[in-house]
Amino acid sequence: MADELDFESLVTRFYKALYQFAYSLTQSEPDACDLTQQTFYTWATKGHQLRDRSKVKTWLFSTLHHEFLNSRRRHKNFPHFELDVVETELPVVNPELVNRLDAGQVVAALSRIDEVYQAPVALFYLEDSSYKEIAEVLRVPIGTVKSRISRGLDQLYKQLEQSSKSKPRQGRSM
Amino acid sequence: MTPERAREVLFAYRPGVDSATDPDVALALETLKHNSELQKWFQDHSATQSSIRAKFREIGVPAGLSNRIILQKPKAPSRWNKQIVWAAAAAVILLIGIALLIQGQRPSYSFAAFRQKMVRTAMGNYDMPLMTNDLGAIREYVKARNGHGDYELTPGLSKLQGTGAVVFPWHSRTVSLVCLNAGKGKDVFLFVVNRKDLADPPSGQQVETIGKLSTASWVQQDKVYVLATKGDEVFLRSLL
Repeated sequence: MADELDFESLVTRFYKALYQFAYSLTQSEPDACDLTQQTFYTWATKGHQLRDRSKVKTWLFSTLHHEFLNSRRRHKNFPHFELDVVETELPVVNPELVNRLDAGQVVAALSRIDEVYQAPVALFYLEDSSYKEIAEVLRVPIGTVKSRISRGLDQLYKQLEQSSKSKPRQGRSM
Repeated sequence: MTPERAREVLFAYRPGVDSATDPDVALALETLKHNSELQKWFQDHSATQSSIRAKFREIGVPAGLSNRIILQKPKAPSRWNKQIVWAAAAAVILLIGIALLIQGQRPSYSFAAFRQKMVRTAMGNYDMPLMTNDLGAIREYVKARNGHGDYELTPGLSKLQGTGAVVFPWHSRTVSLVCLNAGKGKDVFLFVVNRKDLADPPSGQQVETIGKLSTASWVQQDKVYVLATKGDEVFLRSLL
């Protein structure tokens, strides 16, 4: 891929998904725009270091996530749960309940789950990425990704249930 | 596999995306086939998952974002650096090519012109960086300065003491000058130049008086030698 062609075609191909991922993490349009732009800026200046061009998508998402973590300056050691040791009953959420929510409410629900689960869950829904790809984006082992997604979905379902009980949001559209 | 375990496995399973060949998933799907309650749960769960996925993908992107990104693209230093390096390399290659071309086309100078110039050099003022009577040191000096360190002295010259040496350019060619002392105030000058640097190197030994100096010239292997000294031809020949 030629560099010039790369940049414009990459922007066209990935900016929407990257923005949606960024928005899922930040719940802020300006922050999501900044993260998306910063990601492509980093690509323009350092993308040539990526030798395996088939990994461009993973590289972009990983860079965005890294930028997000840097911007948050959070370097916690998150607990690592395996699903089979979490003693909770799997929640059930009716699809009609979800349909009554808008995208903003779903993202807001995501923001209320533990931060360590937010990125894997967002990638789980936004991109049809395999667990292996999500693991590469987040730079964690695949087993960790699986457990974080399961745990994150569990928390998200509970938050969605809460959202459906609250009043519909006013004055904000996605 | 128990239905509870099957639910756990299928909870984060995306049909069509995640591999159904994973042993746990395969077993859970097999369990699903034989459990209508589990099937109902998975159907509802998949519908919920699809709804959530659709909501995430409804996240609106600000208008003009892609254009802003493209317009704000920085000039990639790496790319420019590469271009500069390539341009510099091309320029160097071009210059080398031109230099080689010029060298290849540079005018050839005649032996007569060379000899004339060397006599004038011997008669005029010149710097002698190395002053020594040690012939070995003179040879080493000439060699170290990319002169003609493998010059050969005639039997007559080999008997003389050294005076010094200098290596100097002549029309971008290199000339080595070995100065010897023949006694009684008689300096002997031996000039050496590459044979290929002259258009018409002497075919045999040539003895000729140029100005106030007697000269003898000859070719040996790849070099042209011009011997110049004050004195008559008899003395000159005694040095050959």
